[in-house]
Amino acid sequence: MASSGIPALDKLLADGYPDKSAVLVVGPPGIGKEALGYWFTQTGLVQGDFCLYVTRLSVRDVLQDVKGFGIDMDHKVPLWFAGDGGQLKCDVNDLSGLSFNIKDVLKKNSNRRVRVVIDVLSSLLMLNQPETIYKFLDQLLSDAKQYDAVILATLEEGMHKPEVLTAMQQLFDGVVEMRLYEEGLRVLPLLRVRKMRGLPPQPGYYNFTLSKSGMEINSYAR
Amino acid sequence: MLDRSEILGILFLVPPAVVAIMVRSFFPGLVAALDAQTALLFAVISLPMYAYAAYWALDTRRALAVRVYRGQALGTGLLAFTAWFSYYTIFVLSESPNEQLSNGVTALAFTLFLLSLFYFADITMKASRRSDPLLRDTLHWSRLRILLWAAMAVSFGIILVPTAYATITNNVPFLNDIGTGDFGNSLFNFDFNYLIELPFVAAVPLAVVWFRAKWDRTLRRHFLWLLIALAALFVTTFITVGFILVFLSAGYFLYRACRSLAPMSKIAVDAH
Repeated sequence: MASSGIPALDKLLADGYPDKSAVLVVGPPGIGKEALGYWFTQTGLVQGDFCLYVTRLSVRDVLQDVKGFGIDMDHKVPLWFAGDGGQLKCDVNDLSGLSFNIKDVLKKNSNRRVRVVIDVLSSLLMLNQPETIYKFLDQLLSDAKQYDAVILATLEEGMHKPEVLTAMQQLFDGVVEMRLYEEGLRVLPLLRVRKMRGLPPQPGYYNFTLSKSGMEINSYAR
Repeated sequence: MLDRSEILGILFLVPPAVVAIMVRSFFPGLVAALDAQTALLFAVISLPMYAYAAYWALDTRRALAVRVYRGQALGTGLLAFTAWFSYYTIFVLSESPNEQLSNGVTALAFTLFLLSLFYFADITMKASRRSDPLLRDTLHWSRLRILLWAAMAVSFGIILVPTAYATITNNVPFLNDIGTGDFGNSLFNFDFNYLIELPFVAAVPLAVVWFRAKWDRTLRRHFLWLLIALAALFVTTFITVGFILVFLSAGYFLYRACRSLAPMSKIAVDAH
């Protein structure tokens, strides 16, 4: 199992994300999906895993966000596949280049565990036909399973049609939802593990709070 | 060079801008005033609606984690609150016998509204850039905003510092000039009547974003409600009949704008 970097989430997932799996985190912009990717990456770096971070943002912007969550990534950094400032240039218009570079990294690090965070799915879906992205992802994820890799991808809610979100969720081994719920006069950020390979279905919701000291997750009761 | 969305966004704003300028030119100072009882009743009815809109935006802010989106929610909440404060003071105090209080408070309230409007536009531009798949810097906003903030600081300084001084020293003639917007000094005239409305310039890049963000249904819905709310607020300043109803409608539209900041889900019944 690959630790998520968040003890409470690890507990919920029975020790972390499954080996050789691809997990999708779905939620509206600003809810903190990326934070799951930051902790996942930081824990991997500490444990000696090879980490690749794929984003269309600049490295500077991501590091600013990372600091905002109180995560220390000053000493050990992942391989950046970023819009600007990374070792590899991420061009969301170049699907084949994206696929080639990710597979190349996996091949070169086939002797160790690799953690990949992909933060460009929504952009890819906006710039291409959904069917093209389904095929691209299907191929990429099945290739990645030949290696000891765990992939964590984020997807924006409210930007794609519901049927696209459903189809995307089917491509992944695990889906974690982070959503805003309306309860009376309150807006609640709740988390739900919609599915996870090796785990029985979990219908329960969990309250979560993100702060500089980490992520707190508690069972939600109405 | 401007792209198609940028040109469309700019053209989209030309008709309302022409209407606004014509209305200002032909119907200056046409603002309804309320007697004391109506003003109180008006506050009792309108304040909860605007306050609820602001509350909803601030509660959404509390639930979010990323700074730029929290800022967007804060900007929307501030806009709802300052809209009520500024328009209410204009309606209620425009014929107040206490000119010093009336003119000082009205100037302060309207300044706060304009500042919160620009803050909202600025932070929304940042949020929309982040959600743009190509991270486009609409109309070079990252640089333009610095220029506009500096110009606004000067513009508001020119108005606020003398207003504060006149209020403290009880300079009633000057405060009356603020009330009418008619100064002997041409710099004040230009600043008070035109420069102070700089925040409305932000409508141009926001319109461009609206055209570009075809994929972002949440942002477009939010913008749509906000646009209707601001249009209703604008209408209230030049109608004397039914303006209370239009002001209340503006409050409702602002509430819808606050509700549409982020998609809300329903808790499934099978969860417990």
